[in-house]
Amino acid sequence: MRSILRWIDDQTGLVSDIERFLAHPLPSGVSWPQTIGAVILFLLAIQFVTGIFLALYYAPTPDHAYDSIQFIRSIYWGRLVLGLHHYTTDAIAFLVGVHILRVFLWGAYKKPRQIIWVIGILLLTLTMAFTITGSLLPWDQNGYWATTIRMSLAGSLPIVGHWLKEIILGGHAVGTLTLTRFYAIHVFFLPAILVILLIFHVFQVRVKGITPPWRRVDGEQDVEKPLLFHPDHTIKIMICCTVIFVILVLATLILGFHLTPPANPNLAYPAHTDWYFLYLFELAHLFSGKWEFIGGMVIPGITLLAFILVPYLDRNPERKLARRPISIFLAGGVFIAVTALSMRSLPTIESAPKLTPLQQEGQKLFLDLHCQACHGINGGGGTAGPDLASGGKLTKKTIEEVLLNPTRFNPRSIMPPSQLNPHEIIAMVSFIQSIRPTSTMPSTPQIGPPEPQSHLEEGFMLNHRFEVMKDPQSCAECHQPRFCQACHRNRKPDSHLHHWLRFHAGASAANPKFCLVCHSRQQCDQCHRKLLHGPYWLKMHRNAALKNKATCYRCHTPTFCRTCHQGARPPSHQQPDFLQIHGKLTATHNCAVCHTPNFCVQCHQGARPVSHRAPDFIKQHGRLALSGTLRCSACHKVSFCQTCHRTAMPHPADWLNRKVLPPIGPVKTAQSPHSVAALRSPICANCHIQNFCMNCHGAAMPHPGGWMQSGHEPVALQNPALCKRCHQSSECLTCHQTHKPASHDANWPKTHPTAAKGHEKVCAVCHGQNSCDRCHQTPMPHPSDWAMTHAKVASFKANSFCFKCHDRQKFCSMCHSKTSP
Amino acid sequence: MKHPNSNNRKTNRRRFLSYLVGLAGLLLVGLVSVPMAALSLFPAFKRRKETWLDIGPLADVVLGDPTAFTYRYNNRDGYLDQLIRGTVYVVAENLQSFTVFSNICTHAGCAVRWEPDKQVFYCPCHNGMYNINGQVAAGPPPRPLDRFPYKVVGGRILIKIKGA
Repeated sequence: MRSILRWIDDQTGLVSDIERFLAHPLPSGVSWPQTIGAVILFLLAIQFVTGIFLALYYAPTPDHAYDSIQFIRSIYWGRLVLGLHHYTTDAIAFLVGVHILRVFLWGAYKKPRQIIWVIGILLLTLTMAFTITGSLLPWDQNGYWATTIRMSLAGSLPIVGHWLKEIILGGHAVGTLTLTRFYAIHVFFLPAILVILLIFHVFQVRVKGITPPWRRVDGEQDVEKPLLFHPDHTIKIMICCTVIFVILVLATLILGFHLTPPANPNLAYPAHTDWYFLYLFELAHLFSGKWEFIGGMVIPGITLLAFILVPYLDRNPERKLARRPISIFLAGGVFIAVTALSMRSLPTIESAPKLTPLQQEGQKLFLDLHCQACHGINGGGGTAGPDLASGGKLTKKTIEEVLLNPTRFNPRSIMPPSQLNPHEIIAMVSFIQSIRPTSTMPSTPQIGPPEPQSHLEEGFMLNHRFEVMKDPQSCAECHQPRFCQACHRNRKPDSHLHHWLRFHAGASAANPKFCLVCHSRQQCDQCHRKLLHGPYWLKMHRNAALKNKATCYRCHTPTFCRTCHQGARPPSHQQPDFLQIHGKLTATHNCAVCHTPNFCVQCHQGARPVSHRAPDFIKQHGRLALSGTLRCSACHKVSFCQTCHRTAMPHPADWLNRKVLPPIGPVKTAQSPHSVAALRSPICANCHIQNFCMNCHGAAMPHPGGWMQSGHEPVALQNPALCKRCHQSSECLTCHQTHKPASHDANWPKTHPTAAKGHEKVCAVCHGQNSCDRCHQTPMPHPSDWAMTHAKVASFKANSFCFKCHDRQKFCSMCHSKTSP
Repeated sequence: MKHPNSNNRKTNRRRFLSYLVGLAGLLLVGLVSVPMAALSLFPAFKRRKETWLDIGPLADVVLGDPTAFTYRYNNRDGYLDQLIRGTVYVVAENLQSFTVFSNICTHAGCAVRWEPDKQVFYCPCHNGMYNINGQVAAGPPPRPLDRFPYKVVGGRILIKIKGA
């Protein structure tokens, strides 16, 4: 070793220089208090080294800073290095304060060491700058919001405040540029300045020497210097350094290094000020509003300036405390003020209260039930539910009601009702009531990948559906479809609220992936069961709808069917008698375009009830319907019968009644509804046998062809009453006035008495009652007493009446002689 | 008058203290260096996690011809999660025993592809060629195509990969 050092010294002379530097004499009385400066130097070296090695993994971007720190924490040695870097900051802050106090009390700032003091105060401000910039680098909530608060203090300065703030931040608010700026300042600018000032500071100490304790300024020359800096003083320094390093390692191993949740500009966080800034924090809060800058900037600035000028203001050559009453009094005042302000602000960083066993049980339940997934505690945990930072303000009754019935206060709450027993409820309530604004979320192991940045934004729970709609696949990368159900089984999405069932088919058809984010493919089947609206649905839906119409109405309005079945039917189906003729149309139309082959069976076989399947049902159904055996109205409306019968069925009560009806066809005297129907179409034959009409009419009905020419006369002559059932006597005259019957030939005037005798009723069919009397102007046929009474008629009407039938020359002489009257 | 040995005693004491200071210095440097060295060197000693990755059904393998299977998995790269995609070729004469080749050329790391016409795995970067057994047939590749350990579970092919 010695030879190596000698070789280095031969080559560089460095070892000799260092030995000369260290081997300067020290005055008597220099002991442990004077080691603090060197210990701070050692701690700064630790900060340099740990900082350099942390930079191997640290990424100064908002996207990766937090993750990279977490990554360093995940390495065992990394956690130690990170902890050393963190706790060394605290140690430096503490020792710098002690060092300044020691220098002041010992009067070491006095002539000729004024500049050492000034440099020391500048180094103090540098260490403050280190902590301010370093606190932001993990990019966690505490660092982010602490920086925001500090920068708002800088921005509160009149006139130049906002300029100063934007220059420091690189923008209007803490953001990406702030992080890169703070990183560059923390690892490049400040260390460079610090090294320069440190060299100057140490060099001045070496040149001016360590202050002889309690000696007057002008009495230093004759001070005895029996000690050597090395090794008499360095051994004490090394002991102190070793002790404090061990303390730091133990602090790291025992206390660990904790991060608050990742920085979230949209989620305010009660940032905790570091303990060495408490007095400044409290000082700023002594002033409010626009005067805050006085406490936050002006007073600290004046104080700093006063500190720098202390050696030049205090010209008292004495170093003994008793002979420096004013400066000691002032220093005591500052010390008391700083301590008082720090103590006053201490509650803001007080640790969370220690939990009782019952509260610990509640905390375990809180974690076991994964309450932290939705409820945060002071920024830690989920954001879906309210943060429980002020849980201590809630009453026991309120917490119990929320746990047992979450929808009591918010009907759309997604919180599942707890299944806790009464004791567990008490434990949970006790834990929630123990939460204070200073409490933190109990640490839980990270399961799965960390949440992406988008999930940490404020309002994410409100806006996540839009993210889902933009790119459903991105959600599916991490989440199973059932993941959504964890919340949405208790709270449907807003889109699912109003008439969603009627719209969801269209929405799912437009964007199927959107549905699949929350629902599995089988989800549709759970509701629709067999009613899958697949490719052949149009051909199947009728049968399914008939079987379970209520299922259709869950999604469709009752008028939904009309959207197709009214307007969209082909023209061939729109004929009034389509149902009657559709069988014939199959010969000319391709039904398979729309219908499956078994479509017909739905009506003609499968869908008909058993009662309708009898071979002679068509013929029997009327009788069955009239007898009440069939309850036709269960399936059919009254108008259903008309679709086949084309007339009122069952026949109404006045079906046979004769009425004055408008003429139909060549027959102008149809006078009853049934005759109208019968004449309109041969529909009666569907139900009635061919001779059915003869049961009443006694003749073929409707009258067959040629009836008027030759058919009706025999019937009318044989049974004129039969004709009178339907026809009036005058109706015959409508024809017979111009078209005489065949019997009425040229000899009919002579032969008709014989023909009419005994057949008066037949004559009456056409001629009406007493038609003979009207024509003959005398009773016809002559009554039995006519021989006695005819003289009266013959006497004055013989020429006009009697001789129309009787021969004038011969008939009278047949009875009367020439001599008789 | 000082005793002549007092100076020697003081010198010896200071020499001893100097050793102690040196020792303490070395101790401190060592204490500080250990975590630093561990922090900076750990990636070289980190065990790469081996996992079995499902690449597809055995039924998709075409006997006699190399069958390409694509796979993908999440790989933790430092503090970032990366989706790794890759392709392997399964060459099988029978379904009981076959070979799973990486499609990464052993020369410059380009992706090779199977050329059915030439019956070779062809690397378009430097015209490297491998025969159906993965042996170098032509071009600059220094060694045959890498092979993946595999196993068949439930009718699906699993290959062993090493994470970051």
